[in-house]
Amino acid sequence: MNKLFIGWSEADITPVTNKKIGLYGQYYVRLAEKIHSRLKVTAAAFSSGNDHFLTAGLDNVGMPYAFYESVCKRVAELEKEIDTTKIFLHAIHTHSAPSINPEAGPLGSDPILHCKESLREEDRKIPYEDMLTPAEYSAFACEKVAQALVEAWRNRKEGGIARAFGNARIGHCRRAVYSDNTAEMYGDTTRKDFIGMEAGEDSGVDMLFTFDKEGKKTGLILNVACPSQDMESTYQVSSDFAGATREKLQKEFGSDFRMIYEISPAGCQSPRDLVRHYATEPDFWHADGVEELSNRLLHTVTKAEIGKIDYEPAFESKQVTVSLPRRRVSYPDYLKAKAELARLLAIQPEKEAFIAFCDETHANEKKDGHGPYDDKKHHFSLIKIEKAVLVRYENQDASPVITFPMNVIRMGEIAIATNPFELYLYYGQIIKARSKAKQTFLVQLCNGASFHAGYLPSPAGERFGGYGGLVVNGQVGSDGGYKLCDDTVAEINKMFGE
Amino acid sequence: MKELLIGWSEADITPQTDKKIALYGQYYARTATGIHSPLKCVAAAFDSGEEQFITASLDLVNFQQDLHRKIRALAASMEPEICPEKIFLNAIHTHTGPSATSTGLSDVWRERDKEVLSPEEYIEYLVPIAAQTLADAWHNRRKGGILRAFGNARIGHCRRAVYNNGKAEMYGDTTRSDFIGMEAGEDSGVEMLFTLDEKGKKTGMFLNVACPAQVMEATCRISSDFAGRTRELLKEEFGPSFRTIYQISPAGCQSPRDLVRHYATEPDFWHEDGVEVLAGRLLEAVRKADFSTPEYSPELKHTSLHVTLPRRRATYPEYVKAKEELARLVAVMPEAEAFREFCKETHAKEALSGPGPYDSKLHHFVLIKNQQALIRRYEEQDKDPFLGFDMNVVRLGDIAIATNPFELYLYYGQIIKARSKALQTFLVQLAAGGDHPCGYLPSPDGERFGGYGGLIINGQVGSEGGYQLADITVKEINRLFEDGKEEKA
Repeated sequence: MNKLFIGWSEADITPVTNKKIGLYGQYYVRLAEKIHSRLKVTAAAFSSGNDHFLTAGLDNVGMPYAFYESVCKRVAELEKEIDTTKIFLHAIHTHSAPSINPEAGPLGSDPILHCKESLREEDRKIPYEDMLTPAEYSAFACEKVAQALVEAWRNRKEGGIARAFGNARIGHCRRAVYSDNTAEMYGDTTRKDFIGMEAGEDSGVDMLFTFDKEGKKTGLILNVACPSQDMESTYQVSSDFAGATREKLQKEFGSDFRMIYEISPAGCQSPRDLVRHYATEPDFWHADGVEELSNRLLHTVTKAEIGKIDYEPAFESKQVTVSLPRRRVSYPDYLKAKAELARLLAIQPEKEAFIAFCDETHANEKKDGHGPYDDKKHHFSLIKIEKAVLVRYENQDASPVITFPMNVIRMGEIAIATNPFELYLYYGQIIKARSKAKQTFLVQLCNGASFHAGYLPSPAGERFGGYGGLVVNGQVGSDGGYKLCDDTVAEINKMFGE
Repeated sequence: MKELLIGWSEADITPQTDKKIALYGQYYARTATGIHSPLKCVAAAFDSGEEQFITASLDLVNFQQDLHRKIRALAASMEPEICPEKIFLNAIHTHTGPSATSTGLSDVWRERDKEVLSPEEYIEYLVPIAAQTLADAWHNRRKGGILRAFGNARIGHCRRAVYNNGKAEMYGDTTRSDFIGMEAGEDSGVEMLFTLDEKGKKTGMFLNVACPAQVMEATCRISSDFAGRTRELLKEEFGPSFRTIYQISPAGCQSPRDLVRHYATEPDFWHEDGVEVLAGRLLEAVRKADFSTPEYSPELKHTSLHVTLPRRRATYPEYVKAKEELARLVAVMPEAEAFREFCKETHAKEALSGPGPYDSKLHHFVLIKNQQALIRRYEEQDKDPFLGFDMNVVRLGDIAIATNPFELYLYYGQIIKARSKALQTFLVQLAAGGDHPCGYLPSPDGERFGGYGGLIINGQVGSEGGYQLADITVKEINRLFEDGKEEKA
């Protein structure tokens, strides 16, 4: 076995600008009023013998392939030793950061639809030139992330790893099912026709600690089946509970301690327990929830029973290109969507509907109760849903597959495997159960794909529909989901002697 | 509001006998070789002057309605102020106590051994102790208050693995390439209700968790499992007179084992070390709980009702198929021989001492029993189409308590809790018994995927009755929280 070398680095990626910062993650953009907590990128580099991998977690909502590609390109310019196929980048899914999709406009991807009328009334007078564009932020973030990766690489020193497992109550299924066989994200569970939650949850927390030669803790990969989106409806820049956990761990273990927060498959999860409808805990739509969740994770980490430190772990890193079938629309569904779209547009055209949707959302925001403030069954949302079905039908034969780079790592007894989706918990459980690794760190929202990957729903999610389960919400359905499981398990188990 | 009076009491119900003690809860017999931890009955009485309820937990796997009614009647005869219908008891589902039922499934197919304490003998021993414990709790009433709290602990997990042939298996192998996910979720939420004395000192608690106490289920030692161990740890925490009633929230599909991580990161929760870990987690949950404000005159309302649910029916084609299949199975190996084989294989696996389960629910013998049960159901379902049971529903301040006699799948518990108007809803399964051995009440998925826990042999009621149970329970709870608002359509 070879000695292990580990390097960490962290950089602030909060925009440095006098311009207004648009926060991405909802159908509508929010212009930030203030900073709740700084946005960071945390990077780690591991090498052993001739092999290596680098990873970074970004405080952002997603990871477009174009951004991933541009970071890899920049790293290649900065540091020749790094094989950029051994890099994987992922997002913590905070909805309180600017976009890193360079093609998006200041208020969204559609220049006609995403106009100033979609903003709160008090923000509509702000000129476009006073708004930070995603292109500007992407360029800024790309350089910071590339530099952080290179710095992590150059910081490598002899070190070791130890795995740990703990538990924390963080994520819950957010999809309520009704007796008409439909599901709704954040649906009302007090309704008489509520017939259960669509899926389960996972309180398990997988941890991988790193140590220096003297056995001092230097960093942690914290893998949790919940996105960091407590602050998703606020007007504050925030790294959410993942960022708060990171800060608390630095207080606990020293200011140079680094933490990467990875989201295990959790496309159907969020921090809210719809069964108890906020009667016993914070509602996890406000800043108090950030404190609560980060305290839980801090407690989990500090209580973790850490295994033996391995300074010469088995080590293998690879990137494979995965191809999955896109979810298809049938001809009858296409015809139905066309007729329904015509009916909807006759009642209210799309732009008008969008502005009405935003107005209603902003009115709900003012009530300051718990979210969500927008309505995924609004006339505008219905138009979007039908349009997506038409688009899918019309291009599914020309582009029948989605492809993406998947990184798979073996380090000692653990495996790490990535995917670009908001992958439903269901698939994560299948992969973990079938993996030969002692602990399997699955990382969603990673590296991007040939299309915006979106949600990958379970068979139940696909059947019940609703936000997160529809064609509009993702490229791949359950058929591709099962294939993803098989591909991931095959790659992991190959590294463990299968 | 009236002042609240609260009393507690606890008694040992470990059998005192020279006979051998058979441990109850598996298809195969286990004779106790020692005591891991004593079995207890813990009782609490609440009295507002106008209303009352008395509840107790028993460290047993389950019990039937006849036992429940006997205990109720005897307690009421000991203390005339007690209304028998205001009493409800629940089991913690430890599989390492004696049987308190003579109508249990496996009792019917196992031969009695005169050297072994019979269920009737144990019932004779248990009933006066349990009744006395209830009466003692009543006598011990003092002015007091309540304090609700909420916490979390990683305890229960879905134990049913689903495969791509549309079938589920309890503790199925999740490393198989045809494994396509767990059937259901889990709930790390822990509902707590503390009682306080006049000075605000904690005197006891209800600890309501969606997981049965069955880590030790395949061992041969009498044990109150992690629920009993938690009770002892809480005494160390709050003083020796502190009492705990462990209630199982609907968890018919749950057990303490995480099949997704197949024991690589935690104890396997089939052995004694798991008892310590889970009790430690529950102690931690109690220590870190978020508490409400104490209430010394909470609203106390109580409804006792008799519920009837439709029994799950077998169809005619299923009946015909089961008859054919039974004939085929019996021709391959008759039942008695199959049972001997089943036990032999189980004991061989026990000797290996790895994680359980040691028996196979796909064994030839089990398949025979499954078909026999289906045939029996078909033949009696028109004569006896309902299951009846006593349900107790309590409002105590902002909380609700509602009982059911089943091993009720988590799914229904979530529906009831979500629709309940109470700020916290304590659902208590395996309570009060029914007029048939109630068994599991599976979710629609459980019913569809079958396997142990989802078949007719495993329970009287199916999802049709499950939805009715959810509606009845919600209605009764919300009636106690009536504020003039109708439930949403």
